[in-house]
Amino acid sequence: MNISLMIMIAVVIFCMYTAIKAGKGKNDKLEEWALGGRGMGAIITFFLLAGEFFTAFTLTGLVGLAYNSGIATLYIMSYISIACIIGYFLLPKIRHYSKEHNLISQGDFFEKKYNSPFLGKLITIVGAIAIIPTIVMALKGMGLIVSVASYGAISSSAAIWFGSIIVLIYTLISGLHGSSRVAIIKDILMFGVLLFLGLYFPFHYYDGVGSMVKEVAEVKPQVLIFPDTGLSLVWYVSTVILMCLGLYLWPNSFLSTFAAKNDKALRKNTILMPLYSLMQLFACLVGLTAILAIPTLSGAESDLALIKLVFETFDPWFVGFIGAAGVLASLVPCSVALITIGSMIASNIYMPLKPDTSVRKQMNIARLFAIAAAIISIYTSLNSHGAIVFLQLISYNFIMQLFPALIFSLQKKNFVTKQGAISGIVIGVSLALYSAATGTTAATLFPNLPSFILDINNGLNMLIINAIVTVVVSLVTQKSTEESQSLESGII
Amino acid sequence: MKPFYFLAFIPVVAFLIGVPLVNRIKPFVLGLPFSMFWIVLWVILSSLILFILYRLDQHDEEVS
Repeated sequence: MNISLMIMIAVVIFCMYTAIKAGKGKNDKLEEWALGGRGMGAIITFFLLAGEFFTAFTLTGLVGLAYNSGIATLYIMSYISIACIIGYFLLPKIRHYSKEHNLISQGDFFEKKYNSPFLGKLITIVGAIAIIPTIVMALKGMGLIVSVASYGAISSSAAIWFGSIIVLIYTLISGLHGSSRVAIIKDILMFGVLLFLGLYFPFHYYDGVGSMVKEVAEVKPQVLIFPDTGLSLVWYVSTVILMCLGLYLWPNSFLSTFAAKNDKALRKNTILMPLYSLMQLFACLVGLTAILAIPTLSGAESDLALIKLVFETFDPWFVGFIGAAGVLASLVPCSVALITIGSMIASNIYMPLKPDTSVRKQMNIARLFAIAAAIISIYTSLNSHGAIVFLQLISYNFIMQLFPALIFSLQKKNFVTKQGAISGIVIGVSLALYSAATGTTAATLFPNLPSFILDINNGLNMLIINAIVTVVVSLVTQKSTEESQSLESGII
Repeated sequence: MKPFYFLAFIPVVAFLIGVPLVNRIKPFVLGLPFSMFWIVLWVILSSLILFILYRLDQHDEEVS
């Protein structure tokens, strides 16, 4: 066993211990296990919400994107900033409503707002399908990092098995109490690693960030501005719009919002989050340094840019800490996702069928569904590459479809009916499925359109169609309910 | 809607309309190409503007 593997194992065991200790004796009902008793202060809520931004992807895919496309990586901090501005107004409203009606899951929220149990179930299923790919991607990212950082001592599939068993054990025992503690350890480790590498590499290989960037400007200037086609300005603007609307639609971010103690905690979060997202600039700097230091990476190899630079520059014990950061960065989102899936299926699908379940049993049912979700995720991440690409394509486009129904429901006078909300979501989800299955996009349907239209993010088109359907169906059904009501009152 | 909430629109405009207008490498600011500097600047200003909104909201709530 080598030193870097030993460090990774030590960090993971420490986190497991912390998590289990934090949840000890607290989990006696679903509200405790899934929401930490709704007592999460500003700091813990912050790490739960922000934890989603810095996953294993930050160390692999994001650095790879910086290596290939440079400035394109900054789209993430752009959309997080706009999302936080939206969140400043949105999140307190969601929290108030959930507290008032004692809601546990996202499905509850829509069910109550539109007074439609069917809509609640639909949202739950769409959400669960959308989350699974994020677990799968996190597990795959972890497998890659562990196998590379352990110098091949542990294979990628072995790492996926070990990692998912560990996350399952501590999640089942400690719930959100433990999960939130690990989230803090993980972010401290990630922050340290990224800040250090993002500054160390430019200074080690050049005289600093400024001279490194100037060097890139001479060798590969096209990565420092948005190009005319591909990841162009149109791509940037449309993707930022789409992603900033979607950030709060994830069932897990609903969960974190519900778990907050008060509005102050949520608002403080939205103030700090943009600054925190700046950490990704350091991932971008690592990628830019790699362009000059290891210029020959191609295709999927570029995702290993960070770890290859680390290999060339540091001793194995340091590689161990990078590996540990990568492992935790995968375990945290997995853990929160498993809690979310378990609690939403238990409270929105299982409970309506058996309403007289005891509080303790509710929690155990949620745990069972979390295990089921973990098994599906492990299976998918070990098998069939095609399925993963497909799942990834539908994941974000699925969750986006909840946007019109959510926004209208938060208005003081909501004219959208449950029929409108349901048909909008069904149409949007079907389009997303069809597009992912057949590869159809606006570009393949109308290949003659100019590129500034073709670069529009495909999900945004689906969302617009969904919004139109929602509004039209609502206006029609609203009219017919009004007519039947006036007809009834006329008869009386 | 409170009048100072309009502050919130400034960063949105700076990202969605501003970035296409400043998509160039020179001048370098703080070592970054101008395009990247602009985005980083507005990420920081987004936090600052939210902080201002927070303080004004706090003030309003204390008064009422």
